Amino acid sequence: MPDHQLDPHKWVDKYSDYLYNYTIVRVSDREVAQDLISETFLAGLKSMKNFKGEASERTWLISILKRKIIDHYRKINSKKGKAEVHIDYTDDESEGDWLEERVADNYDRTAEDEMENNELGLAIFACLDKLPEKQAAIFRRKTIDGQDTETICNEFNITPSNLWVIIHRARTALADCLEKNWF
Amino acid sequence: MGVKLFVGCKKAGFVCDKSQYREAGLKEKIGLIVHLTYCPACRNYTKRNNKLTKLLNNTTVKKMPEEDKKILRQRLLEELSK
Repeated sequence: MPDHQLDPHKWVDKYSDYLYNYTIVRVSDREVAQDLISETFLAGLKSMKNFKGEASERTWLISILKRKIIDHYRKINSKKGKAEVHIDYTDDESEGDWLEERVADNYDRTAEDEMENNELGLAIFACLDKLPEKQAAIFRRKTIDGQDTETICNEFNITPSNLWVIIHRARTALADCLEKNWF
Repeated sequence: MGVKLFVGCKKAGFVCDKSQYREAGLKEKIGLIVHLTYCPACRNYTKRNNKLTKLLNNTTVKKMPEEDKKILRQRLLEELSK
């Protein structure tokens, strides 16, 4: 009996945010990211019978996505020149300074920060994934989408105190999970 | 209703959660603060809870745009019904 099973109907709801976070820092283009994720899901559907259930659904989808991203870069790189870094100086005076400028590259730092932030984002989504489905869904709405209590209560047909109990459990579990995986 | 100065841990935790979303009232917050002065367990919980909120706010947790999700869902459904 495999430990994990695939349920394509829930893929978009459960994993699209995670996959999007993963993709967007690697390709930094919304449309490309969207295409790659779409291709990933379709490829996943096609090879469902090869899924052995050893890895979790998410890990499996990520492994497909990784390959799609690599393919994407192969494709662009075959159109030579685009991946090269060009440094052009328009005036002669600043010529020769480029090495120093590279050293003090502020952009690099922000990029790194962003990477770290993105990794944290991935960790959060990965932890959310471990929560019971309803808990995760409600927590997402409340915390990430920032919807108000009333809207969520109406949609899930629960009372506000139900909602706060769920939020409480989700927060506790999430804090535990992040402490283990992030710090 | 007057301000209830002494509240139990359950209530304190509840107010703490609410305050993470800025939904706790002033009276509730006073109860929480008083409770925290003598309850180490809830102090600890509050500390973690605040940290979690900070993390969640600091991250650029990017969500896939809703319309993109719709398209994805459609494509997936089409493929599934084949």
